[in-house]
Amino acid sequence: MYPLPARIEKIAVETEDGLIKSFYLKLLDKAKSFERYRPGQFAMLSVPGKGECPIGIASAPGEKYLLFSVYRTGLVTDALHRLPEGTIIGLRGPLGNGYPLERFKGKNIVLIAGGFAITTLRATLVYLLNNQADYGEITLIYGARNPGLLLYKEELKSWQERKDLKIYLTIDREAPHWEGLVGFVPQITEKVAPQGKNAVALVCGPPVMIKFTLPILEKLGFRPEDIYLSLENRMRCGLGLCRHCNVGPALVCKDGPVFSLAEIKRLPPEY
Amino acid sequence: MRWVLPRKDLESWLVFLNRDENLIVPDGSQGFLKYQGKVFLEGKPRLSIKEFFLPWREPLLSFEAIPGVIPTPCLPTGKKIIFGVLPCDAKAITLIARVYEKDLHFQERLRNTVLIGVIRKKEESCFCTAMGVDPFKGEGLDILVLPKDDILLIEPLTPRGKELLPEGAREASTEEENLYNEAMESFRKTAFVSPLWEKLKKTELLPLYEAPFWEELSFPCLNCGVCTYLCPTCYCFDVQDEVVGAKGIRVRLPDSCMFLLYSQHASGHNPRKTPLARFRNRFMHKFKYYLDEYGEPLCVGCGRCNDACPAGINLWDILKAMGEV
Amino acid sequence: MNSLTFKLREKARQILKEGQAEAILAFTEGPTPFKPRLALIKSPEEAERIVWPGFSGLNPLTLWPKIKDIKTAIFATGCISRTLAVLIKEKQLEREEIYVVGVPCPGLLDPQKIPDKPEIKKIDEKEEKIFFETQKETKVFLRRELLRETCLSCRHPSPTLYDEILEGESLTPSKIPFSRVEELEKLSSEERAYWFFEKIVSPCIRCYACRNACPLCYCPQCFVDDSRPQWVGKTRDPIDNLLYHLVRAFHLAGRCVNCGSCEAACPLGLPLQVLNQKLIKEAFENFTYEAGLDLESPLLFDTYDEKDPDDFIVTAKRKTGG
Repeated sequence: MYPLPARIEKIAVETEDGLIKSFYLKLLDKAKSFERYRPGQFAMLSVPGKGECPIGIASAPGEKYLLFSVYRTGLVTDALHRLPEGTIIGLRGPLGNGYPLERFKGKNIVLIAGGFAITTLRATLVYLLNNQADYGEITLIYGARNPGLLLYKEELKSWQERKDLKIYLTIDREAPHWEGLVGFVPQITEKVAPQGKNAVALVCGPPVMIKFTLPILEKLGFRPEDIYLSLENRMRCGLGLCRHCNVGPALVCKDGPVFSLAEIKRLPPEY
Repeated sequence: MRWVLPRKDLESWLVFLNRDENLIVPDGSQGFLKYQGKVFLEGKPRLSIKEFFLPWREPLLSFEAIPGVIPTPCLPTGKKIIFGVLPCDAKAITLIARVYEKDLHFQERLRNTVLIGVIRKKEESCFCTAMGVDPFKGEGLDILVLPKDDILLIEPLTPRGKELLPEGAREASTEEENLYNEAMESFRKTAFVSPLWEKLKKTELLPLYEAPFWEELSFPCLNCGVCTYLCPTCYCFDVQDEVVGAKGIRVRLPDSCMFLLYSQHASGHNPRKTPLARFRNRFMHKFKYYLDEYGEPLCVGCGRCNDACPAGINLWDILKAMGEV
Repeated sequence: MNSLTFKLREKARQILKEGQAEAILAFTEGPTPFKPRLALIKSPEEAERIVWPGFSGLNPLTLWPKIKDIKTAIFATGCISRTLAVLIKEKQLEREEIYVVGVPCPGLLDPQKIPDKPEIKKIDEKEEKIFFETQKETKVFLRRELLRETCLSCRHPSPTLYDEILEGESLTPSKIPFSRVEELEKLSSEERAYWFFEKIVSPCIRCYACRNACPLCYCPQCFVDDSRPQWVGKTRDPIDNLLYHLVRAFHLAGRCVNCGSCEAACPLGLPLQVLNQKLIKEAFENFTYEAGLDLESPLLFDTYDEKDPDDFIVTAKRKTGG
């Protein structure tokens, strides 16, 4: 599978520290591959001369642009951050499994995000809001260290005005002009998340957040089968060949990146 | 039906096979090279034929190193015939092919490469039968050759193999057919299939992963890439962009799960940070992960890892320990 | 049994009983007589597994980073004791962390030198003679016929650093330590380049066994693994292979103790130690320096003397037309 040419139509610096930029892409050719995909899937962003890196798709199917919010951390992401609007890059995907959204039908859904890991949950939320009728109550719990590190700020505001979404934004410590909640994601989850009965939880965030959130969800009655996580591992091909991303027998690129907690418990801790 | 060629006519067959100058043969102890008039059918080449399917450098794309220019895909071109293939090496290619079912580059190479196997004398380090590999089955081969005294007994296994039979070959007589069958039967009689990996199908994954033996068995391992690079079934790869001046290519190259960098995230986090974790991953892949998915171990018993390991690590010790869990 | 094996076991038992160390890093019986395997021996009973390495040229200190929080003893021949001295001087370990049993070294053997290697059941070494037991017969070779090239070039077979030393006779120090290098120096530069390409650069598969088998290659991240900047390409491209081997050799200049672990580890049997020997020769001829002979003298690159030869600097000036 070769990368498809895609133009960077728009770039937005998401966070105050400048480490996360959102790239709004459009494929040059009307490629069928990105017409349908599942929230939770990812794609390989390709900068010739530097390489490829896997990034979760932050836009929902049908949105105007393919959205990728990229944290600058390695060779390729660094190169991406230096590119101006209008540049053509490569896009290979969609890859991975994505969230099994049809399995969630009729259930309450809580999305729990920490830091910049909100990306594919944004795609999921947009999808859910567009297909509201199929699902129960939708809750978003989103935390960051400080207000400047929250992504998609404009959108967060518009979501706060919606009646069909319960949204809880939180930061780790008090900050000037902050009107939302203060406290770590696990604590907020304990207070505001729905009960686990007939509900699913989608959790994306730094390892420490996940570590403390999972026991709370289990306490609220979420079964391991109803808690979904998205794993990250180093990968090269995204197609289940190169094996870099294996977590025991499972390949994050092909069998994941989305796994239920029940599945993860059956795997060796290699993530 | 089998065919017979006097051994003295081997060279003329090789010349016939090389009419498009694309014949590859074992060049001695190191590996396989372009045919230059000599062929070595004794002993085990240190490198397998894997490099003709998963090359040391496989260009995927070529590009101008200017942002925005659309890269051009590269596909391997040209047909090849490889003579003197070890049947275990050919079997290894079929094991990889299951994983690389949809990979354009691998499949293109598979389509364009004819494999002619030759049964060699079993060496001390060989254990193909223990892994369930029967060299006489010729899996993955187009032709299988059994040298017997002063003749070569030739069995074409595929239509394209049939087309490459030597011109001077004649049909085998009943006696000669019997020679072949006897050799095959006497080999099969001594064949010993290890019950260890069969047993591993039923072993639970996590207890195997957490077993205490990994610590002691991985201790001598240097975490170099010898076993993975020499292994005919190891198929992991890395992808690199190489730029010289204004032009660049994206290449695929073998990688080794023994290396620290293999699983290291850009952030520095590494899910297999310890030498033990990397050592374990290699054997768990061969004798559990792959086995569970495809019903066979990812090992053809060529013995190259055992022969070449600078630390004296032996696959059998590990398989035995795994079998005891 | 090999008399050295006997001595090593006896000493190991004694050390573990008397408590000079809690563990011993030593070669133990491996899957074949050619493949002894390193292990951490922790009880007198386990000491029965210890063997004299014979055909394994691997330097056991390569595994030192794996040993943590346990006072460990090691059997040290000349090159191993010198490795230890370099590691101590480079602050990779403290002298007190390790108990050193010196072993006068009779030289190690090269399996590639055995003519038409038969299926060997057992190998025995008795001083100058090596016995190979096959199914049918016992073959006898002379030690010097089978000595590794590295050992043939060894100037210091006796340990230079130890807490105690075993009795025994070591190999005579080599009178031709640089013969392999000198052979190459006789060639023209084109012929040398050809040799380098044919023997090392082009066959190398970049498995890094040489690097990983080297106890002095201890960088947490090797330059070949850096990605920002990427100093060297990762494929078998000849230029990248060349760069890898040259830079590795240079990183060992003034440090390599001629143990030959790299060469012994190479799965293709490439003559890698020749590169290191060239730099050993340069250090010796220009600065009368040999690595790891004691704990006191400074490292080669830590010293400067106005009388140090500097003709290479002059040459460089001329070339740039200064």
